[in-house]
Amino acid sequence: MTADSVTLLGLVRPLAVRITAGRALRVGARTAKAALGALLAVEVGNLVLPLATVPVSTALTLAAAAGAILTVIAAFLQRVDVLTASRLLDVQMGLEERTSTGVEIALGRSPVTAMGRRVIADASARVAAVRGKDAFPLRLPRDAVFAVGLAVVLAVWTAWLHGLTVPGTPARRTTEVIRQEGRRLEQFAQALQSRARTNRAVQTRRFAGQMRELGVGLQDRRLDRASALGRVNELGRQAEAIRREIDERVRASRPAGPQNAGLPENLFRRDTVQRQIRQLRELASRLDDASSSRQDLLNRLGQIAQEGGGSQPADVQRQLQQARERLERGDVPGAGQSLTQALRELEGLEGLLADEEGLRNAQQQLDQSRTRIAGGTPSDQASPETPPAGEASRPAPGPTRAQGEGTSPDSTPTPQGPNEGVTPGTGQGTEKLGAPTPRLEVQRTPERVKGAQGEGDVSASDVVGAGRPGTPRVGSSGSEPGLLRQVETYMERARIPARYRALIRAYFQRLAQLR
Amino acid sequence: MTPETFAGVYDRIRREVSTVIVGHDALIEHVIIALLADGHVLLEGVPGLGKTLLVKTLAQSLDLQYARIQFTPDLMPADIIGTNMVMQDASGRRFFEFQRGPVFTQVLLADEINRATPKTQSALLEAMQEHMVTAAGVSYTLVEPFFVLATQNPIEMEGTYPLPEAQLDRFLFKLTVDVPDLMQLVEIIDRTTAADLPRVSVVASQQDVADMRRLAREVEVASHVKAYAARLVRSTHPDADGAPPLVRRVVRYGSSPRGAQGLILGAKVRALVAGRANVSFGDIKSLALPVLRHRLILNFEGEAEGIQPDAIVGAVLEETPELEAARTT
Repeated sequence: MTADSVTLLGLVRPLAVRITAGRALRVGARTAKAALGALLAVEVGNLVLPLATVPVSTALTLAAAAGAILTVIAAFLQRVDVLTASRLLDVQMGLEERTSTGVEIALGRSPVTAMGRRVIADASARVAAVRGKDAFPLRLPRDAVFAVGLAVVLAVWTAWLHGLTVPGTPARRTTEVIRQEGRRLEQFAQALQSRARTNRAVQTRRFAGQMRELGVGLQDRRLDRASALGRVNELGRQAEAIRREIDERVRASRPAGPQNAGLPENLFRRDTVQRQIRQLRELASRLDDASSSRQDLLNRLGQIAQEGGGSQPADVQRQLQQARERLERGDVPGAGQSLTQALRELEGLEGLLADEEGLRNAQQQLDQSRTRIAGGTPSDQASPETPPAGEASRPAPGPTRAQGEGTSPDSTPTPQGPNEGVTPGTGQGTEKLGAPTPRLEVQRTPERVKGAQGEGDVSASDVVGAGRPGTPRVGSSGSEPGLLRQVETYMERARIPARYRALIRAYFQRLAQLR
Repeated sequence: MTPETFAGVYDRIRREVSTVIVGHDALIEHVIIALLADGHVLLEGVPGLGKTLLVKTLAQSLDLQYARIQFTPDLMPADIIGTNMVMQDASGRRFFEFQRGPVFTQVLLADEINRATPKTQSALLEAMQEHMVTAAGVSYTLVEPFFVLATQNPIEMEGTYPLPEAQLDRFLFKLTVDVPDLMQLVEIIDRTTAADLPRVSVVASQQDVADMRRLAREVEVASHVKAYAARLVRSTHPDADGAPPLVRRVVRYGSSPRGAQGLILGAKVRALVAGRANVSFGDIKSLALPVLRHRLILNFEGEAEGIQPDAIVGAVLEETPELEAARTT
């Protein structure tokens, strides 16, 4: 390669880079414009359809990221080579193909002749006089301006018009479902809060407050489906986290030791714990009664410990054992202290179990709301649901009992108690709350009624009209069939267009008549 | 010879011819380009526009042998290429001797070529293509440079025979001679009716012409410029991919490969004339009309509608992009 060739290629190479950069920028801007256009279209489409949307900040970030990535990719994949750059330079600057011819020779595409060397020298001189920014200015692509405009429109739309829906459209129906679910969750949260207060379920009461806020928030008319689902999911995750923490604490209360390794996971049942609490309270009251004999107390204590078996927390078992030893030694006050301690342990456990139950109910409600919002199906029950009372709450005294028994449709609503929530005991739990019914292990035998193919007569009739004499409607005229056939043949052979054939035909027909 | 010398000689020839011929700058330029590109020219125009004078002046300025054949309906091929005649030597023995016809020259003016029959017109085929003549089984090489400049009257005039397609294809350019405008007509009157008629002097030798022809072939052509010329020629065919709708509708056969060769050869000469050592798109475009207009054969529809080949070439130029793959936006 000659020195002139190197010089020419060195002059053209920066221009090729410049063209590549310009093209990559245009690709990036076009991508950003397309992304923003699509996002804006989705936003506008939300007037009619409940489409998934992203926050405006995310949308802008996405569009910018897409544009930047495509810019880089285009810069690598659509790199402009020196020869193409030289051709574009010739066209752009009117160099009359000097550069491209010179570059072709310099690249060795053709043998270098004396004339070729002249071309290279001429091209070098011309390209040296060209300024890159004049030939290929790196200006902001028009698509980038469009993209900025779209971003502004998107931001304005999101700020002022987001959440608007057209009446009678699926989007409006979804909004109604979200609002309905918001009302339902709010009422459920009120009931849950009152019940948690009664059951001394601290975590549940705190969570019910958040759930109530969620219910109020869902009743916002501008809330779209994606946001609503996001909020519901977020609260569901919080409930799950709290419940796991409670489960950990309950699991920590399990009796330790190798003999208890095979105990079930749901060892502590709330109704059992409540029964033990009642029994211990009754025993504690008998300790204070001087008429009770020590042997009776010891028997009762032994009975309680035996009934509890392995289903009591380790601390409770230890305290009961300690109470028994003290009672045997005649230390009644000491036995009373041990019983009180065991009672506190059990009450604490009962509170945890109440929290666990309440949170599980809340999660079920959130799951239902999520399903309904996602499917756009409204709730099929008119009255809001109340937290269902499990079997554990039935033996519980006072307001808890009144709340939990409202599930039966035949039962009359329990009057409101003095320390109860807003709507205690009025819930109508219609959904399935218990364990699923076991499936029947039988083979399905579909029956099909089989019949014989019917046979019958098919009747068809043809209507035949009578022939009628008439007169021909085309007048007779003289013609020269042979001549005209020849005309047709020649016209076909010469491929005469159809629109000229009538003229030619008429001409020869006239000739035939004259003859 | 260098490109600068080429441009200088060309300029001298052009100026010398212009001392006699008034106006017709483009015509003079194209005729000289065809001569230097080793091609032949068909001039079309009504009588009295200076076609014969142009050829005669060109021959005089180049110091080339000049001959003129006036084509008439009774002209025979032997009248052009020559014939064997019975001769008698000093001893009385008779023998045949080939008497050379007017085709044995360097600049041949075939005046009103379309007045002769096609048979006679075709007598020029071998001379134009091979630069040789065959008579009675013997071939005779013509003296270089050999340049045919035929004139024809518009074929609508009485007593004319259209040139066969094979003959037309052998002309590098077909040029049309326009009627001079008012100022040019006054100038013609001044030059031709005065006491002193302009005289033509020799400004280039035969060797100069040969050197110029050789140098023209050395001009560089970029691959995409060649591709553009090829696409132009392809677009004149109705079944080609890039053919314009007008071509598809009215053209029966497009240009032959000689059209592409003619485009590039003429463009090379034009590039040197412009002081360039490479061919540009502009060179190709400027020569597309004279090179392609006589190579198109119209179909019945085109003939019936009176479509001019120039309009078809214009459509081809308009709809064929210079750069096929890479474009600036």
